Amino acid sequence: MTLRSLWCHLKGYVIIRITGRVVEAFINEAYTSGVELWDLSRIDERSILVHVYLCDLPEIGRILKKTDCAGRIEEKIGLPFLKMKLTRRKGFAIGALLFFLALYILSSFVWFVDVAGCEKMMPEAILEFAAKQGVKAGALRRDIDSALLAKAILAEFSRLAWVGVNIKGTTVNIEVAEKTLPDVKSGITHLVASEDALVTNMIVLAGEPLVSEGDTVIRGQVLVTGLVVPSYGDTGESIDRSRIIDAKGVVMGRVWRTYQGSLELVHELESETGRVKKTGCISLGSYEFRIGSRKAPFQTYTEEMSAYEIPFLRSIGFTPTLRLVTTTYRETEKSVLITDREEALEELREEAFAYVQAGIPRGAKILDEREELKYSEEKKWVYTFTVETLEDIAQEMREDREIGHS
Amino acid sequence: MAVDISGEKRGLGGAKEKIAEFFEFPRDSILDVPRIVVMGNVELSVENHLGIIGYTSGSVEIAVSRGKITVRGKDLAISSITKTSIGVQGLIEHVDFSA
Repeated sequence: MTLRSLWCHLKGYVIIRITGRVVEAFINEAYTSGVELWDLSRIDERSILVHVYLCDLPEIGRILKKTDCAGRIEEKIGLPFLKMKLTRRKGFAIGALLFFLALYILSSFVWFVDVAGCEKMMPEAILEFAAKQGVKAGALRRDIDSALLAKAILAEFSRLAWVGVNIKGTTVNIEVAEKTLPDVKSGITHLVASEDALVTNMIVLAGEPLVSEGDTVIRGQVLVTGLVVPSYGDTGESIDRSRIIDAKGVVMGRVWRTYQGSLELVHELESETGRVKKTGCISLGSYEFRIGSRKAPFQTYTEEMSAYEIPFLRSIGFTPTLRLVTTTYRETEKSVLITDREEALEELREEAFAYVQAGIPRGAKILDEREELKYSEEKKWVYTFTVETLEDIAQEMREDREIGHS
Repeated sequence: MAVDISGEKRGLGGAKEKIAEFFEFPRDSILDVPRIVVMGNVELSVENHLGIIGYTSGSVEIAVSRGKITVRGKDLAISSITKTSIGVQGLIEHVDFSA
């Protein structure tokens, strides 16, 4: 659309069909009296089409009369005609006006409030607080001071490092960044015994010792507690408030680890001979069909059963399932093995050493090793292997307890 | 018939012609002669016209001082007409001068 045609639309123009014997006279008369004509085109012998501005129409009428021509408006184009049409169709005009009015009014309210950037915090809490500050769906947009709201949210929630509020259309976007706080320990750390032991030496760095040197302790017993009760002489407002600290310290103790095993010289062995027999059974519901004998074929044997169900009939509503059961019997043979006493003892010793060794922590000092072979009342040789170590038996144990801010 | 304008130069008004020649004025601004601008064979405009004598889709006759200009062609339309100029659009085939 050129500038000129835009101007024409603004002013409004009509296309007139001029009919007459001498239309040229009309054209001459028109331009000489200052009427602008454009885009004249010939239709037939007697008539032409002429574009004329709306404001020149009265003049055109006069000229038509003067030149003995007839004019008929073929088309009306431009804003003034649109306006006329609108005034004729009032309902439409009012509707259009109402539409824009509604659009304007509705867009001046906040419809959505969004919170972004929450990782650990619940966005609902921020939304609730924002609603309390007047920022919620239905609030007027111009009433919202985004900087003020950001400041208020930041002041309310101590875990937030930064809050940004921006209003985009009918949506209020609240962007938050949370502080990354160091992990806060909640609870008390006690030191407990990791093994049954005899306490020989204690170095308490923090906490209240509950045992003293020379005491025997059992596994799991609290050695040093993190709950420090103020001493009796201490008077003050904090008398009933125990201090809570993480107990720290080294508790050395003697630990005995024992392995006991009986020395067996005669072993009964059961070995397979290699003879195998299989029996099968097909069952359908309560009906059974056996293949092979029901009885076990060997005197001593191991039995292995495997069952296979064929579920194909179930799909057509036939409940009894077809089962295939095969039983494998393997013949076994008992034999007696007598081992050498020294050899057996050596084996037992190795086993005992490995067992005890596995229990000793790193850094433990081995004080003593003892082995003992006794003939017990059950007529068995009982072998006992004991290792005495000196080691740190203190083990940290956390106790989850709500502690108030002190 | 096509007319050579320069051929009739001598016949134009004596004193005005001489003044125009002396001061090197554009001739059309001093003399009462039409100025015709033709753009290819699709557009033609005539300044200093005296009106339209006849208009059909096949020909446009424009009155000028000392005669008329006849434009012949196909689908001719008068794109604009004011006191100073006439614009003709269409497929132009002939431009004739006649006294």
